[in-house]
Amino acid sequence: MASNTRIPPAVNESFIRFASNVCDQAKMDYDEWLPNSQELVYHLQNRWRELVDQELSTDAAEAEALRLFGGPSVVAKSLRKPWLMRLFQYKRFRPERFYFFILGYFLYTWVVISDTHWKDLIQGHTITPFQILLPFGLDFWINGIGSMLIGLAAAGCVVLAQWQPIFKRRWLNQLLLIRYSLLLVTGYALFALIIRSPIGAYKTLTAFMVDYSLFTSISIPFCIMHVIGIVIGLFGATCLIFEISDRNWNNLRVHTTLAGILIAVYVSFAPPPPKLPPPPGPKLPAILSTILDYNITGTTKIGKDVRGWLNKKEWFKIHQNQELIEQKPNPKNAFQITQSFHSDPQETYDFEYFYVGGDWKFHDIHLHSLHGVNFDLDLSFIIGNHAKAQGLIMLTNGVLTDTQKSFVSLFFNSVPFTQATK
Amino acid sequence: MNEDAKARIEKMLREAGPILKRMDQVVVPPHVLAKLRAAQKRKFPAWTELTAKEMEPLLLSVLAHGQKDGFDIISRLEKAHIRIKGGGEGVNYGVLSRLVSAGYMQVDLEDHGGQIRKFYRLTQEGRTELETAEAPELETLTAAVLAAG
Repeated sequence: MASNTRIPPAVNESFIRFASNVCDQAKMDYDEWLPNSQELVYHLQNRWRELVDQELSTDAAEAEALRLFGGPSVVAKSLRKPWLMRLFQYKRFRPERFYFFILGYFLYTWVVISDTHWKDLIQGHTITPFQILLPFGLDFWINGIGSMLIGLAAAGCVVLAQWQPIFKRRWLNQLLLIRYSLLLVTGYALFALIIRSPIGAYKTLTAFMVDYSLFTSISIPFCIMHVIGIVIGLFGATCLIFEISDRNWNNLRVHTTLAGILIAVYVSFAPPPPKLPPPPGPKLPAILSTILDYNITGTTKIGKDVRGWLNKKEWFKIHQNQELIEQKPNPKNAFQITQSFHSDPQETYDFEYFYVGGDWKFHDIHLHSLHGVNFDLDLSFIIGNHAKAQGLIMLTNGVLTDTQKSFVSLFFNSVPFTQATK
Repeated sequence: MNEDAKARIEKMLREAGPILKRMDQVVVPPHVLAKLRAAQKRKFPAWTELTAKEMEPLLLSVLAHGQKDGFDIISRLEKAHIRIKGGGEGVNYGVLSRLVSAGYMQVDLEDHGGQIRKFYRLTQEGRTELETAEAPELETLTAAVLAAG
């Protein structure tokens, strides 16, 4: 054992600085820093005393003690824990955990909005991204976005409980223990991310590829963006769960059991949800088929394309000779009439024709709302929005490359196409 | 070798001869000799080098004989000329830290005159791990480390 030789302050300071440098490079947590740095300083001090006992000078002993100990980066590397463990468990990395959660939340929300929006379009429902984000909608909860926000509230309880002395009062502290119950709800986000989201994305993509065959190349960026969104979302949710769970298993067990019992009671005794009326049948193809026998005017490119689209559709050929519900002349043009079909109160379509040379010629089509399993997404873009239709025609005519098509089509539904292509 | 080179070497040997003769007659004092030997041992000892993975069972085995602090363990290793390949003494703390994280060791903090000291103690999991560990020459190395104290 080394003697009790007094260590000069300069040498001691050098050892303390060295040990602090090692602990800093090892990214130690707040509670690890002090005992570890003192352990290293104690080692260096004793080694220095041993070397001085071997008749080395003060400076030589200091240099030798540091040399024998090894470089700070090498020692720090050996002391550093895996980054995932540090990120999830260290108090020091609480802000990083929240940053990851926020990033994961936004990316996953983008995935859910994109997925749900396409799915609704394919099924003929009209829903905006804003409606998906509203906490009153089913999509908000069933996709786990709501669970992630509840997790954020639970993590907020942890921050509050450790914050000001007022929150350490018994009754307030007991109230904040609700975070353990909320942890169970947050766990649903993991389920939604791991299982529900990939399955839902696969189903949407499959339906998308069938109904929207123009954009085959969209599948690759769609899958890449989904994988990124799901992985980072999963990472963010895990960060949140580690933030809430302080490994106090007793609290965790009691509160999750309580939450489980409450959920089970609710599921057992809650009134059944009201039965929704069955969705309207596939009436759109039948109505559209009535224009099959008319020629086109050729005055608009859209009219030409719509005619081309319709003629290619199998369902369009099957459903013909539908009943004409309403027919009214257009007051602005003596040769133009507008036919409005209201076979379903929720569906409205306007067709325009010109009476040229004793024959009706198809001019344009306006679509206001569509339902039904045979709803065609390609068609809806052409007839739903002329600006988008022009863009779609540009895409089909090969103005853009395949890669450009993929990326443009990703934003197709949220950005006016005329702006996107300019 | 040509004649010029031979002549140069012979001249150098002739000049160095008396100096070498005088050096043989020099008597080095024992305390200086001890210091020189200590320095030589420090600079060029015959070390047994282990990897960090191989060091783990050795540390567990050493701690099976009672709790010790980090400096004590590492001093014993140094005296027994056992070290981790490619690292200084400080790398041993990394191995100890890993064993603590794995639950094979427990740390007891003690206050010694205002300085916190860490004492490592083997846990039951550590004993089980030690029993299943396959390390050649573990007993020999452990005996050397314990004897070095």
